[in-house]
Amino acid sequence: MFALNDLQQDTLLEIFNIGVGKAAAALSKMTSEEILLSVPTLAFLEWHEAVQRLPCEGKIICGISQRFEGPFTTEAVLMFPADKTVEFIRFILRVDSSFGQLTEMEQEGLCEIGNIVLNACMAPIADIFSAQFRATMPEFRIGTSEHVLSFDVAQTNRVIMLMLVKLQMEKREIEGYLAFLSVLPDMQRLSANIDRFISELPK
Amino acid sequence: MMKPKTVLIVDDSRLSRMIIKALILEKHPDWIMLETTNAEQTISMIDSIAEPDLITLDVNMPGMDGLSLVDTIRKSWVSVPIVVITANVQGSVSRKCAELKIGFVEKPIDADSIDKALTFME
Repeated sequence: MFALNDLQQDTLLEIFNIGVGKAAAALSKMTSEEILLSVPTLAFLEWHEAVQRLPCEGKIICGISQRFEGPFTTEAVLMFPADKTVEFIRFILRVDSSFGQLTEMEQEGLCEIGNIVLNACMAPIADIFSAQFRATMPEFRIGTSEHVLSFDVAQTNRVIMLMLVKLQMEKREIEGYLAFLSVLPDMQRLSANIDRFISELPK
Repeated sequence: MMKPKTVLIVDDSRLSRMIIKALILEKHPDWIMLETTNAEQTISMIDSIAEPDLITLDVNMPGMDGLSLVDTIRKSWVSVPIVVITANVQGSVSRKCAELKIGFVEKPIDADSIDKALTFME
């Protein structure tokens, strides 16, 4: 079974922590609120276990996902519980509406927010690895965590790597999550990149 | 000859501690580097060591966060220079650092970040 040693795991989490910090700064700028961040967690799981690991498991959630291909490939997803997503996007777009569902314009707005936040997260990771990522267009999904995380590549691999961070808007009771899913061949490429990065550190 | 300085690095990431330590020692090979991995470990260490010349502090750590630790540190070491070195680069964090009169340096850490961190000792 694939595993990272302690230093590789620590390095990976710290590199993502830097990315998540930039993502939170982008979100904070859009919302004019402080975003409280959890310490990122990392787990190697089967896909169905990963789905259950999400704190909003069983609820309807909205996710904006993008696939990033570069020194490794990852499916990055920004998620909010569906009821809070409506509140969140209307707050950002300054829209006052009692309509209970997301409009097409609001879904487009969410895709753009996902695009900004996810790219803010991945850009410093690319810089650290002296590489670049190609990103697909952001995709909006609404449904259970099984639906939002139903990426073909993740479901057909036995083990996936899941990194998870909670983002919480300080004043409004809105929690979101950033998740990153990678599969075995990409984990091996990621592991090689981490080793190269560590070997180039000042001694 | 100047007495070697002591720097306390508070960061849950082993990688970050390694980089901070290596870059400081590259410039000042005789300095003494101390490390703790969280706020609780730092608090338990405060009474058993002499006041360091600089503390570098991470913000997002398991347990108590770095900014909440500042008050506790200041109770024992009133004027120790503290510089936050963090990936949490939100304006609110840098503003809190300014309010607490401590330094703020963004991760990723490189030689320039360390130069900036060391200026808070002056």
